[in-house]
Amino acid sequence: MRGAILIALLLLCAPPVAIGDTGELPELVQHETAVGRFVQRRQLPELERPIVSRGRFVYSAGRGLLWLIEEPVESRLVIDAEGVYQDGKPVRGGGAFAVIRPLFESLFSGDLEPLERDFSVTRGDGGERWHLELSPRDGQLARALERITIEGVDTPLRLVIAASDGGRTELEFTDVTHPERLDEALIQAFDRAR
Amino acid sequence: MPADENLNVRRLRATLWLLAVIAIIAATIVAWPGAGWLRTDVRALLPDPGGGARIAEASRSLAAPFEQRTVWLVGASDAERAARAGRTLAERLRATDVFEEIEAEVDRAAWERVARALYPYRHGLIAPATARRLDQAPAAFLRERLALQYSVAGAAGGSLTEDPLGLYNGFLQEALAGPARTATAIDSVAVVEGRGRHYAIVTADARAAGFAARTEPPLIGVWRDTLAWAEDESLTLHATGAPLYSAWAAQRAHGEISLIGGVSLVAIALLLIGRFRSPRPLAIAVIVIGTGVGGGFAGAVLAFGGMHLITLVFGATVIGVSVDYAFHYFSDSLRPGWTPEAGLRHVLPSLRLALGTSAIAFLSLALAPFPALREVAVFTVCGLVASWSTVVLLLPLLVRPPASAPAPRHWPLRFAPRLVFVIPAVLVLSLPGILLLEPRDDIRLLYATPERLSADDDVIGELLPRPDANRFLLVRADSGQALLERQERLRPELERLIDSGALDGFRAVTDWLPSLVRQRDNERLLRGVVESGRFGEYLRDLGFGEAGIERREAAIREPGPYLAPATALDVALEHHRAQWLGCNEGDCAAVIVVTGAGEGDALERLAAVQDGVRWVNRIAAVNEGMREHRRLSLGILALALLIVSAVLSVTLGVARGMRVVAVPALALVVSLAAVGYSGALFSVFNLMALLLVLGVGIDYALFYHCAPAAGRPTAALGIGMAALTTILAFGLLVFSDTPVISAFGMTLLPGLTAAWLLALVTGSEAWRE
Repeated sequence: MRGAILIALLLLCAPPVAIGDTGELPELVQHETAVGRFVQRRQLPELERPIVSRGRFVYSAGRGLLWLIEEPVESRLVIDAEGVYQDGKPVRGGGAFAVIRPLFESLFSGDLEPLERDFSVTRGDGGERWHLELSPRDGQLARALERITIEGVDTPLRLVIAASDGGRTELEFTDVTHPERLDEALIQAFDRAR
Repeated sequence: MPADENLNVRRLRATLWLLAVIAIIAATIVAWPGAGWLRTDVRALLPDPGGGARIAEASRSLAAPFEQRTVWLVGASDAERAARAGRTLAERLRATDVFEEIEAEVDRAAWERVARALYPYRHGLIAPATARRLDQAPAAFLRERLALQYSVAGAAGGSLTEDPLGLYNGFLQEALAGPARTATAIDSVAVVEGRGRHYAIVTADARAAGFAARTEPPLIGVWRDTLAWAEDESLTLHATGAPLYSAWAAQRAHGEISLIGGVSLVAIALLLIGRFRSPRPLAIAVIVIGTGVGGGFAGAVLAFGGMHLITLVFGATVIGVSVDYAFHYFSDSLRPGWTPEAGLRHVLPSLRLALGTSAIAFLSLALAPFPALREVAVFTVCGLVASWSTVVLLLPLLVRPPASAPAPRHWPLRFAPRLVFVIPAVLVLSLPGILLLEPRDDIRLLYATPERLSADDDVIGELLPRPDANRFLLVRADSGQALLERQERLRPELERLIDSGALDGFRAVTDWLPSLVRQRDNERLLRGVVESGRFGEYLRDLGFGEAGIERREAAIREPGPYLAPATALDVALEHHRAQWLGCNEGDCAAVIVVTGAGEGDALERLAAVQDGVRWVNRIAAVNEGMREHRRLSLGILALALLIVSAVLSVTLGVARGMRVVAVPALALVVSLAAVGYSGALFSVFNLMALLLVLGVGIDYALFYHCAPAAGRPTAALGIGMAALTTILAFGLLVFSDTPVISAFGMTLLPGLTAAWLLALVTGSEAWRE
């Protein structure tokens, strides 16, 4: 945690930068692992209420990202270098699908630089929190995706994906920790979901 | 005066020769077929493997997108680095000016275009596996879809409002996917993973290369530079593609022909000038070979309206032997008191027999139902006749007895072993070699490829399975819809083969164009989900309003519209469209391309029990043809030997005739044994060399055995010069990198040497009688 405190101090001392300045990316602490809880709210113009789901997530630099959805249904989703798997079956899709893997990889590894290839990144921070706005560079991607907003301190805390069809998906991350090594149970969960 | 009279006769003969040459040139010009005179497609050489035009059309259609394409895989330990390297590689290739079109990025526009165009037909378009699941376990299927909508993958994977069950998206995924492994887009560069690394895929279409032979085709230079670059950057690089292969072959052929041809020409020139002490015989030899090649060329043009490159190369090399006729004449001119007439009288009987027997040997090639061999037969026989006529008609005017050349000396072999001992000795020594002969009837051995290129091709084939333009299932029916239904009936059988491991994957037209029957079935299936109330329930769970649910249900209940072939073909991707061969007067055909089928035995069995389905393996068919023709050609060789024995027995008497025939017969045995011992390629293409050994062996024996006692020294010199030049010209082919050409040399070198030695050995015995 010492690194996180250091970063927080540095951020506190840094002069506030106005939104719209395409300055440096926040230097996140790079972690091998991240474990926490998430709430996902998905809203579409036509839907009467948002689609809400909750669960845990696990990031491991070697294995990828595991979403353990607990409510309203139980399901496992793995995003790794090879692709996306849900409950043991590969999932493929069009739209913004191609960017979610590198996006989450970047967010949880703390290395934001690769994002700049697919998005033009606008950065702003107000005090302790930083705030990134990602706009797709690629026209095709822009047709599916309007904007992605990320907020965080040393790790991302909130992510909003605004789709071009008016849909909006919001993810909130809580209780984020960086254990030195993952539980055997979590490692097995990775393998089962793939 | 007789001398003047003789000179006039010689002039008359030469004029006759000139007129004949002019007449043949004129006839060839009249019959000139234009630009298409030289055929280069190797398949044109081989008998039609059966199946007719549709198979050839299918093969062309499948191969067309790949003819100019090179595929480059650049690998790194992580996907991002691979993607970056892919971009850099594309820039490097773009900077070379060798390529027309370079693609490193996934073409998302194509996907969008197809997705938009087919959207109105979506209710009939369901991927086969999904349709099966929807039919057998609709509740479980909907549960899975619901779970996906709660995950971030659901949020990113296509529009929930436009395609609530994700069925259309699933159909497009299947329809537009590559043959097996799917590439992921990293930073919009297509990347595949395998062999412990990540590889960016870059495709580059080479500019059409001209026929100009250059020392190094620019593509090969680019290939080398790129390999070096990858090495420096510690990246893994694999490249393949037809243009690389042909560029390599062109470079190799050019290099080999210059080197081998150059060395042998210089050696022959030195030999001729050295022995006759005059450049004149060399110039005359060039004229003899020139008219020979010209005559063969004219014969092939007049008989076949052109020729294949292989015919030209093999024919021209064989005709090089015709210079032997001239050597006998030159050698004879070294005799004291020589006159052109006496010389001709001396050599003409042997020349006649030599031409006759060679013509029989080479004409027997025409018996084979092998287009290539017929062409070569006509080319060589016409060429030999032309060379022979030149020697007989023109040389008496041109040849002068060289003033300073030393007279030939002769050392007859006093202790030459008798033929009754030579025959068993040669047979015993050769037998193990002949037993070692291992035929390899593989058309692919015609091409020499560098190890690097073929190893890379294997790696790319493994990482990126591509459909094979020479191996596929051809499905035919009398209407377009019947064809699609037939393909759909085949699908479960093919999936069974995938499960059993006999096949890795397949792509069919019905992936992106289901039959009308199937579209109606899919629609009925979807209607069933609506009627059971499950569809409404699913949408309600997700929070859709009643109006939205009703609108969607009503759209599903409404039948049609259905996707027609014309509409689908209009938007289909290039390599998909190639699978559809269309209809021609009630004969509709389409191709199912497969990966990982090996030689396709399982598919062959499957096709055998299915109506209108055929497993096409063009390479296997061609190789089978080569096998048959190898057997046939050995028969032809035996037959030619028999005919020649009969002809010589009649003209020379049985004992002398058989002694002459024994020389080429034993030389053939030595040739075959040498090929067996050396492990060189043994296939139908060795036949050309064996025929040459037969023809040349007869010549040597004839000239030596039949020479009058006074002419023996010059006869020995003549066959010595002939043998040495031929061995120099062909023996060097052993060093070729192309297996077929090297095998040609490996057959000729020992065969010609044996024929020469055997002719000398058997000579003394022949004279004793």
